[in-house]
Parts: sequence; structure tokens; C-alpha cells
Amino acid sequence: MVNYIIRRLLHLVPIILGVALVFFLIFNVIGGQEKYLYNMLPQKSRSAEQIDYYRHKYGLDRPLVVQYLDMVKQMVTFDFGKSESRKLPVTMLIKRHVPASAALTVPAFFFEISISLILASLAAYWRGSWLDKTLTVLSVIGMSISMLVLIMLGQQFLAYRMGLFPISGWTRGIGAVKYLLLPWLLWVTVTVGYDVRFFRTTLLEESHRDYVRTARAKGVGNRNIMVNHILLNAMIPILTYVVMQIPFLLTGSLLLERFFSIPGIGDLMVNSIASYDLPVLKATVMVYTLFFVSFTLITDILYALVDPRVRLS
Amino acid sequence: MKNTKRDIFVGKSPFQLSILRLKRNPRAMAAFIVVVIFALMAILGNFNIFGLQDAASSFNLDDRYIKAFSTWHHPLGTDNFGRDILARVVVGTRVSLFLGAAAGLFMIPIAIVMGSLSGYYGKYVDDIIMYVMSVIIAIPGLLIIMSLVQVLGRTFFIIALAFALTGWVGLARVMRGSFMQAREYEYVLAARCLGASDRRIIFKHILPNMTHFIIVRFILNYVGVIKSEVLLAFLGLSVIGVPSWGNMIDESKLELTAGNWQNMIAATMFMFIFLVALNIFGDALRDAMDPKLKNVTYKVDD
Repeated sequence: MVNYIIRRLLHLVPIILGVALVFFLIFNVIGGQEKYLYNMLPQKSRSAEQIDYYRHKYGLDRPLVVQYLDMVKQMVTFDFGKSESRKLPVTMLIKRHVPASAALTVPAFFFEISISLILASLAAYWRGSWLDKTLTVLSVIGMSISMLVLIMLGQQFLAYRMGLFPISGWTRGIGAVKYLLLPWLLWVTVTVGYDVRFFRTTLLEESHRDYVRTARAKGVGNRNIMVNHILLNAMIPILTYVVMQIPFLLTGSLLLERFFSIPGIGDLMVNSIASYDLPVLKATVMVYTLFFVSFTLITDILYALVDPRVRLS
Repeated sequence: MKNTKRDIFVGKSPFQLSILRLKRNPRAMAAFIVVVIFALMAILGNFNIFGLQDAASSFNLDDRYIKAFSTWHHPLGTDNFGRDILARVVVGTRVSLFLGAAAGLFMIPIAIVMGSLSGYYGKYVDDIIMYVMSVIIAIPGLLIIMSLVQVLGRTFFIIALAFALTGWVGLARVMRGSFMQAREYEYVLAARCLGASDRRIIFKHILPNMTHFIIVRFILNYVGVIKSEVLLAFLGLSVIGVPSWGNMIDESKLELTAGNWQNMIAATMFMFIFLVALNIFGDALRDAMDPKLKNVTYKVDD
């Protein structure tokens, strides 16, 4: 097991190098930098000297290999230089913004997965009932409406017109929960459709397996089969799917943080796009990627722990 | 009775059979008609028929924020600058639909080349391509799209390319798996014995068996692109200077508090109808093209 974990960690090294290469290509090679510096500077100071100055400041006049290694170093050491618009170290900015993002996304993700798992089990258990049909229709509707629209409608009606939730805002500490209730609710509404659909299909596929027939032949009750046999065996595809959903948390945090003024990483990222703040944009992009990569690693290790069928070689 | 039913299948290629199955599914055909109407609308949006382009872009500050269904002149109302919402939403169809199509058409060749090479040749070719794919998968797609569009500019071509560069991995993985299976089959061996080149085997013998993967993935990708375009618009990174569904929804975020719903309702409804139709059609197509269901004329799902 220890061996397996070490090997998985070693796999991470080429992936990190590759990720750094992708962002290196995008930001440093494709020629975006010129345009970027050009757009970043206010119109008055767009002189050649100014651009040269910033190019030197960001180290864009060094050989490409050095720039690439620098990028890798930034990703490994988490030192991303200074923000251009806020005049603060980027690492500090990110540290300041992480708690809000975590408070928004982690519980939302947890609620959403558990709610959709419960709904999907019910739909699969009473297959073809009104509950099943309603859920199918609702999930198709949910899949066809943009998340942006649902967020705007939710904020408009539930918060602004009906006053059930605060419109937006943020405090430190536990008081933040009241500002997070509506974002959580919206997140669950938006994503539950997809997940119920997928979980239901997985559970139904699993219910046609031989071991289910065997259990039924032994005289195990329907409910017992659902909970102890099907649900447990469906956990592997479900886990895989859940990990695949993590990148979508990014979308959620981008939109929700913006609309509800939650000072998280997504908010920071949107601001950095608007103000052409290259160091911050690079840093937030990399932090998200690192978060995702490490999460994938953790699940891979979890698989090996949960499922004896996973080969450790 | 039984004979006539069997005659339908005799002498038909699998592709013809799946079209047949699709035709017998009324829901799928209805969805298909809706998709065709939208496609016509997108093409219409390219030309200045009925003064469409003018109505969508000319400012008319006397007619700001006319409510929907209040005059015949502007059936769906007008926006902040007095531009006709109906015209804008029709012209906006063009951006979304062409973006989805272009992204798909850029994506498919990349996916075919990568997937077939890595699945057919295996060994170190496979290792290299798998490495590239795992790096791209490691980065959330929206991040690559965002950075590329931000760095290179907000043009139609670049946005479509950005979607393609992140979208090909899913299809390539599926194709890699199928190619790995297919290269062991007897028909491939037979072709090789007859002296067929690798290129011929890949493109003439194996690839046609995977058309259904490609078509279904194209449609899924389409839905994804249209929804992501709204996100890009929200980030200020959608196609610049033309009406699109995403831009309209994004504009409406400042208008809701004052009770001006025209922009949002029009764009959302158009997008909703199109995406529902596309989702239904895609599901039906997947069922119809699934080679496992050879002689089933229609599938009763759910």
C-alpha cells in the first residue's frame, strides 16, 4: 500500500511538469504577453519603454527555458510574485481568499452529492413511478437552463423580492452561514439534475447483475438488496463520477462568488481577468489545477483502500 | 404480418437501420424538427433579411425598454439601447450554433488522429498520447478556455479553437479503447493479410465502426459549448461586438432589479428550447445508433 502511494505520488511529477508547460505555452509563448501588457497598461503609458519595463519585471525577456523552469518553481513553491493591481504578494491574496471558497464549495458539494444519491436511489427503487418520471423531466429541464440564469432568478426572487435570504455579503466566522444558504441552495438546484440522472442509470445497471439475482433467490428483501448490495457496489462508478464533477465546482465558485460577493478564489479570478492582472490570473489558475490534481490523487488512493479489486501494480 | 416486419431490415446497412429506428421515434423527430428550425434561424441571422441585422444593432434611444408583447413593432420588446430583442435573439442564435458546430468540427479530427494512433499502435505512441491527455484532463477545461481567450483575443475562431483544444480528450479516450479492441479482431487481420496499409485499416476498416461514438459525442459537446458560451459572456470573454445568447443574458443582470426581463427571458427561452431538443435528439440518436440493439425498431426508455 505504501509502495502504491509512493508510486502514485511519483506519477504526479510529470503531470505537474506538463501542466506547467500548458500554461507556459498559453501565457509566455503564444504571444499573448505583448498584447497582455498592452491591455494592462493605461492608454497614456503604452510606450515601448513601459512595455519593456514590464517585460523585464515579469522576466519575459529571459530565455524560454528559464521562464519555463521559473513557472515550475512557482507551482511547486507557491510563490507567484506580486499582484499588479493590488500591490500585494499573490500568495497572501490567495491565502486570504481560500477560506470563503472552501466554505462555499465544500458543503455545497457534499449536500448536492448526498441529496442526489438519495433521490436517485428512490427513483431507481420505484422505477417507472411518478417520482421517477418527475425526476427525469426535472433533470432534463435542469440540464437545459444555464446556471447563470438560475442564479440571477434565485437572487432576484428569493432574496430581493421575497427577502428570504440576504442579497449578498460576507462576514468572517460562523455568521457567514446566513450569506451562504442561498448559494448552497442554488448550487444544489443547478447540479442535482445531472447527478440524479447519472446515479439512477448506474444503479439500474448494477441492479441487472448476477449477484442481485442470487441475492433475490436467497430471499433477501428488495430494500436490503438496494442498500447493502447495489448501493455499495455502485460506489466505484459513483466515486469516479464525483471526482469528475470537481472541475465544475470552479464554475460554481466563479458565478456564485461573483453574484453574492463572497470573497473567494473565483471572485479573485474574475477580478484578475477584468483588470488584466497577469500574476493573479496565473496563480489562481494554477491553484485550481493543483487542487484538482491532488484531489484526483486522493481518490485514487481511496479506491485502492475501498475496493480490493483495484490492482496495486 | 411477421414477414413484412422482417423485410424492413433485410439488406439495410446499420446506419440505414438506425435512421429507420430514429424515424419511428416521434419524440426524436419532433426534437429534430426543432433543431432544424434553429439551424435555419442561424443561417437567416447571417443575412440582413427583413432588416434583421439593422434591428438588432441600430440604437433607438426613444424606444428603450419596451415590454414584451406590448407592440407589434417589437414583439419581444427592446433593450437598453432600443434594439429589438426578437431580432437580437435570432441573430444571437447564429453565434451559439456556429460556435458549437465549429468547436465540434475542430475537435473531431484531433480526437480521431490522437485516439486512433494511440489505440492502434500502442506502445510508446500510446504512452506519449496518454501523457498529453492526462495533462489536459488534469486542468479544468474552463481554465484553459478562459486563459486562451483572454490571452489571444475574443474572436469567434479563437473561442471555437479553445473549446476544441479542451474537448477532444473525451472522444479520443473512447476511440482509443475501441481501437485497442478492434485491432485484435479478425476482420483487421484479414485486411492486413490482403496487404492493406495501416492507414487504410484505420480509416477504411475500423473508423467507420465508430461513427456513432463521434456523432453522439459531437452532440454532447454542442450542448456543453452552448452552455459554456454563457459563462464566457459572464466573464466578459464571449465573441465581441455581436449579439449572442450569452451576451444577452449577461446584459440582463443589471436590468432585472428595474423589472426589465426582456433580454433574459428571450435568450433563456431560445436556449432552453434548443437545448431540450438537442438533449432529447442526442439521447434518441445514441439509442438508435447503439449496435447492441440491432433489430429493435424503437426503444421504450424510462
